[in-house]
Amino acid sequence: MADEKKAKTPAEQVDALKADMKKDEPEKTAATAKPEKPAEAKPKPAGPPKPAIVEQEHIPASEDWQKKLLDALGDKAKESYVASGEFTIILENGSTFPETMALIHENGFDYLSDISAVDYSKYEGASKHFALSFHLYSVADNHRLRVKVFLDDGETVLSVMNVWGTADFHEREAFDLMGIVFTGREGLRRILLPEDWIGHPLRKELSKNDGNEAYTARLVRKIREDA
Amino acid sequence: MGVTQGAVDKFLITTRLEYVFNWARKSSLWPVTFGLACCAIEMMATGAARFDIDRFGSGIFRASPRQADLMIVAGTVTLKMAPVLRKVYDQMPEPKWVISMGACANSGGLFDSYATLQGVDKIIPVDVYIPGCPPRPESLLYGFMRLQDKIQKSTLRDKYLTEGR
Repeated sequence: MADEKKAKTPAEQVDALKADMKKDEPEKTAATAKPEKPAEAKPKPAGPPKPAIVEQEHIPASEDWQKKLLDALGDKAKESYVASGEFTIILENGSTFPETMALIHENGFDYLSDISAVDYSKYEGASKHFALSFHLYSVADNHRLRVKVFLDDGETVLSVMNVWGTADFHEREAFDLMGIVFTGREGLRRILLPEDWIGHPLRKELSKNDGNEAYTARLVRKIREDA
Repeated sequence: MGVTQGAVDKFLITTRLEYVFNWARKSSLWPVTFGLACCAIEMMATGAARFDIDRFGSGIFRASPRQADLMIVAGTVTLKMAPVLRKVYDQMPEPKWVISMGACANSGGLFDSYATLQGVDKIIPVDVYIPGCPPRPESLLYGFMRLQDKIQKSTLRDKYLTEGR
């Protein structure tokens, strides 16, 4: 239940934030509406072109450990290639995702360096809204691996916290700044921004300062009420 | 001004109470320790031997806002820090003054982002703004002297005028 509710929030929160700003500050919306109108009107005639996704050359996996890992994964690996010297595996998002990650962990990748979330919504020809990159490292073998998962807006992904404990903070960061919801775990809450912040600032559809202005306005109002 | 009796002049100095109060206040401003970013390094340099803010009777950086009457906001104020800053300011006893040190505290500086408060004057009243990124210790001392001038010129009337708005 809680998961379902949360799953809807990131997409809706953006609308909720805009609606909230309109409700709370009728004077401010008049001010913010002015710059918005020309901003909407301008791109249509001029039309800044969407940046294309520049991809490095994809080389098939050739080294032994790469082939061994691919054999272990079987058809769970949707796609695999070596780009910029980094071995990359693309996985399908689904119920078997944590098990596949656990299998990768068993094959020596015992350290999760980072989880990065990418917003592709402003890119030409992007298949899905978001991508998650899991940057893995094998301490014993000195091998690095990228695992990518593509997500639509509002799509949830299962947590890998049971596989790598450090995923806790990385997943909370991806949730905090991008609004990607990880299910099957406890305590998915903000890590960097204040608890009562509305929205997710690194999403491309939201201006980076919308949330800041709304938060500052609420803070100033609270200080005035307390005084 | 003052009493003109010759005998009294020999051992009495007459003045206004307000003048003495202002002189005492400006000559022993105790800042609260509030270094937030790189500006704090310059603030520390100002406090150390080379620039020596002790010359102004102001070298006693208090660790408690209860014992301080000047807040030097030295650095970037993040949104998470803003309520804390306001709380520390509220805990300082009257009369109190604020110096906003550096571009970040003045206006958010180069951090026009989702995490930074765009100017500390949004949440607390500021007496002196010091530009710079970060300001040199000389700049801080200059701003400090301007604050001393302001205190010396202030009257009790100012307080009621500003609070009556």
